[in-house]
Amino acid sequence: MSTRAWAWVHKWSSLVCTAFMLLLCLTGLPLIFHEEIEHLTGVTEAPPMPEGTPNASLDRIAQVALAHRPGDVIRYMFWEQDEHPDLTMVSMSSRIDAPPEEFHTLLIDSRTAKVLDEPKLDEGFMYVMLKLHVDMFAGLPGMLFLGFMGLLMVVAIVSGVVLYYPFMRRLKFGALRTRRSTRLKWLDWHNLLGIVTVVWLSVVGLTGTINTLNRIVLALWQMDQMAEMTAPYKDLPPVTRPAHLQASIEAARAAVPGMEVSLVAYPGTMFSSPHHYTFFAKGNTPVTSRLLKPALVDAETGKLTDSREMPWYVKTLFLSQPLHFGDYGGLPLKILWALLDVAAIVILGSGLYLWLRKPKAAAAAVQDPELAASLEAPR
Amino acid sequence: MTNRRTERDVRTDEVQPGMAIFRVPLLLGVASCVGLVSALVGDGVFDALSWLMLAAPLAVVAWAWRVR
Repeated sequence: MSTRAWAWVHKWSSLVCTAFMLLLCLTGLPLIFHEEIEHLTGVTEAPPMPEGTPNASLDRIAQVALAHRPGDVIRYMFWEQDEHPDLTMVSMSSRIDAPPEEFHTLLIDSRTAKVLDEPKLDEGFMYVMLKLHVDMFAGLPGMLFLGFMGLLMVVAIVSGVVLYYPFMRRLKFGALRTRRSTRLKWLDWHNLLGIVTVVWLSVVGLTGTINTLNRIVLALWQMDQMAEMTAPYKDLPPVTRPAHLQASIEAARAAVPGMEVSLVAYPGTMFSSPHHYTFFAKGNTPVTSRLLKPALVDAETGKLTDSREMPWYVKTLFLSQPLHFGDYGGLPLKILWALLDVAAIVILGSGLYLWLRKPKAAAAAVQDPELAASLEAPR
Repeated sequence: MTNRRTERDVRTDEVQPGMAIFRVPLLLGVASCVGLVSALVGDGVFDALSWLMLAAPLAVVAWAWRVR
């Protein structure tokens, strides 16, 4: 491919995705620090109690939740022992098959089974940032569209690296010619920031695209591994009154020794079968804490049905999450993530400027004959 | 600012081969990869290594800005 062809690819792949990438970079900036922001704005925590206070039975917690929102059903319970110790979060909906974005979350004290709070999670600054970032309030089509924009950005990065070569043939690395013209100054900034962030931006872009496929990956897992594990239940009627939650979690824990259960999906939800609770357990290293392992427990008997390692495509999705969020190496990593994100914003902005201020070919030849020549006649 | 590059300093006398142009970017790319992976592998030392490696591209930008 000629330099001109690569220049064409770089121009159009960038032009199409730049506006959306700017949106993603800007909304992503506060999202990097969502945990810190939540703590500052004050979230409900379980009150301190003597060390070793036993937890209430999960059956009791389920009962309290159902009594608190009569007519609703429980879809999920989850725990974040490090972030919010001794809290059980119960996600409820009007129906088990209500749309995924329709839910209420109860915060229940794991030890006393008291309802502590019912936070409104679908309003406020961070909610708007999250929705703009994930799907622009446009649901699954919006999400997949942004995923496609992420792919275009990767195309722009690859073509940008190819173009870096003719641009830099007679320039030392890190050249920033800030005193000649505004255009030349931004061209050098664009090239420098672009080339040093190639790997980081490609990884964040690709993992972001993979994250947009989460519902598809989930559906694939349902049809594949989940269908295999629950084959004997295929023709049974769905469980409508799930019971034995405490016995079930104990059966699940026994199946995943050394791991910590962080989520239970009720029968009939996206993450489970019509007949099972699915418990998801995590390990205690940075990698294994992301690679959740499911354990299926019969929701009528409380007995284990099966527990298997997730297939490769679900593991890929799981590992794409930290690599996109930057939340796996403490606050310093988040700060680096934010600085690299700002670099990406400068790359996008300068790229747009360079396109808007593109000098006519003849003028470019006068201003920078060498560069013009390298673009006209590659090699 | 005696340590700044003059306009002539940033240009090379000869056309550079690809290897010379991509040497530093390649090193920074490897550093970024190590940085991205190491914090996933473990905590403590692995986190610190990750910060160091991912700070490298930013440090290079700071250097280029200083000597511009």
